[in-house]
Amino acid sequence: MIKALYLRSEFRPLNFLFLLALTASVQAVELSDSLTFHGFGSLGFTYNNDDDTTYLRNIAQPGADIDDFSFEHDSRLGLQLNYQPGNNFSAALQAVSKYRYDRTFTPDVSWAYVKYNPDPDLDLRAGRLGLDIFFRSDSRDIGYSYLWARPPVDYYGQLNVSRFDGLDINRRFTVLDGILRLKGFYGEANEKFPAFNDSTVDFGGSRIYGLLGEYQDTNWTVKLGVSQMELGDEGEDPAITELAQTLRSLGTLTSTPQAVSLASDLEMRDKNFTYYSLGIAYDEGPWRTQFAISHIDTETLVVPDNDAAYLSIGYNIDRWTPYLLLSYIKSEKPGRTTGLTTPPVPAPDLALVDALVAEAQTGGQVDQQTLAIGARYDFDNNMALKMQMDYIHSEVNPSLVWYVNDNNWDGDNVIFSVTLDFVF
Amino acid sequence: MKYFKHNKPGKLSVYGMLLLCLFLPGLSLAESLVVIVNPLSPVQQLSRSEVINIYMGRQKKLGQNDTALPLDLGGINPTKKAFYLQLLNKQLSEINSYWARLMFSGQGSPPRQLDSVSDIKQTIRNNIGAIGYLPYSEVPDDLRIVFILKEN
Repeated sequence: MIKALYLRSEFRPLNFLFLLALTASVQAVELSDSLTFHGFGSLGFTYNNDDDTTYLRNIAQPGADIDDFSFEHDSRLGLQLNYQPGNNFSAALQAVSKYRYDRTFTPDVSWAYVKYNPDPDLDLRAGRLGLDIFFRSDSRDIGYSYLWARPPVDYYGQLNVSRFDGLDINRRFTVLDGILRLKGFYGEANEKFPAFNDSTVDFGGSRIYGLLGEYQDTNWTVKLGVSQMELGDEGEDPAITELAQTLRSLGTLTSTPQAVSLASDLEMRDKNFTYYSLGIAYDEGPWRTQFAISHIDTETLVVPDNDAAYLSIGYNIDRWTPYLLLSYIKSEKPGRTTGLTTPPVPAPDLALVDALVAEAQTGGQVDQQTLAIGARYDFDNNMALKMQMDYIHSEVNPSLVWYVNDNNWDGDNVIFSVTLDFVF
Repeated sequence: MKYFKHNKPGKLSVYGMLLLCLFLPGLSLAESLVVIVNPLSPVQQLSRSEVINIYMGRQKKLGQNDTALPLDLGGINPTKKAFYLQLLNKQLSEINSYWARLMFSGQGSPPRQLDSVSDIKQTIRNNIGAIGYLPYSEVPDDLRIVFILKEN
């Protein structure tokens, strides 16, 4: 039994490729009048010109086992069952396979909900739902739905949580020529992520809730959101827990309140993250334009506050859509110190403590800009090929969105990507 | 059938637009695409933005009370391609890409895909909230025209 489980989790790229080939030839399937089967997928290859660094699409990805030529960043496969017996009730189940925290492609249930419409303009959903806190954050895995090889890393890369178990409510109003949608959601996270030194951090039980407003007319979409995540007891990197305990006891022993307060400011447990975002899209005729900005306010020094933004401009000419993507993210650099001077007896190495404190605060910093150019080629009605080149400049080392194995890293990398996206 | 005849003034209400089409150079009325609904629907006329909001899944109602049931011709169909080009100046691949985002993030389903023009007519006859598009020349007397598409 254990062996069988082990084999199942060893979901290797070759099997994945086979599955992709198998599904790519499938059409949307109508299993009955009310039950339909759909899917989406991406087969993506990236090349990073610096093999001492590991590029990440998203901090939910582990850096380990990702080479400079990689299949792991952008490849994914999603399958979805839709059940719609009538106008007022529907349900959906979606599973997605992508490279995740445990270095496998083990599929996860990404969506599983029932939806009830007491009125066509009111939706109530309960179950497992995608996290809609940034402009297009609940469709990050659906490569076919956007122009790029991947959602802008400077903006979406810092969001590890992608879903929650809970409920949401959507209400639509007609305003002028467009539709205003108000949404509220509440639930609990249920995902695990890679952390320092190959450990794993579990966000299970963290509460997430938020409010969103979106206005859409013929060409424009404007979306505003404010959300909050309250990390539970589990949402702690074990290395940080240990460091905080050390600081707290040293601070108490030597009567250094600065060390004690630093300990609690480093910890992640029971801390709040507040997310503010504004997204604007303009899609008139051949234009496909998006602009989004965000601010994250955190209560832990391990993930400092940050601001991020992107601007994407695409222009469709027949089957081709060339695009330009500019993005940046800049976090605060806390640089807090322990205030410990006299080593207590028995003396621990204060220099080591200082180094760990500095590492804890720099591991979550990120300060970089990206210029990407690319083209999407819609060679078939439900398939697209994308080619993209990213010029990235990171001002900091280490950085939250890189694994760097080179102390002299200049922070300048080029990423080449080719992606095949499909839906059925 | 008599009841439908009684409702024909609904079609008259867009005669102005039809006349306009006649005067547009290079555009023959018979080839124009028109948006049609069930004659029992209270909707007499739709604006371009209402048609867009319904077909893009943003507006879920047809009129005050009925759940909108937008209909599409399935697959790669020249009429469908012309409809989205004239309505939004968009290629079908972009429309598919738009719906991929909505469907796989649980925000809605694309218009129901039907095999033929006659399926569209029949589905509209059977559903008060249904809405479809056809070349003007194919519109039967018992369905109501609520919008005439012109090239952007």
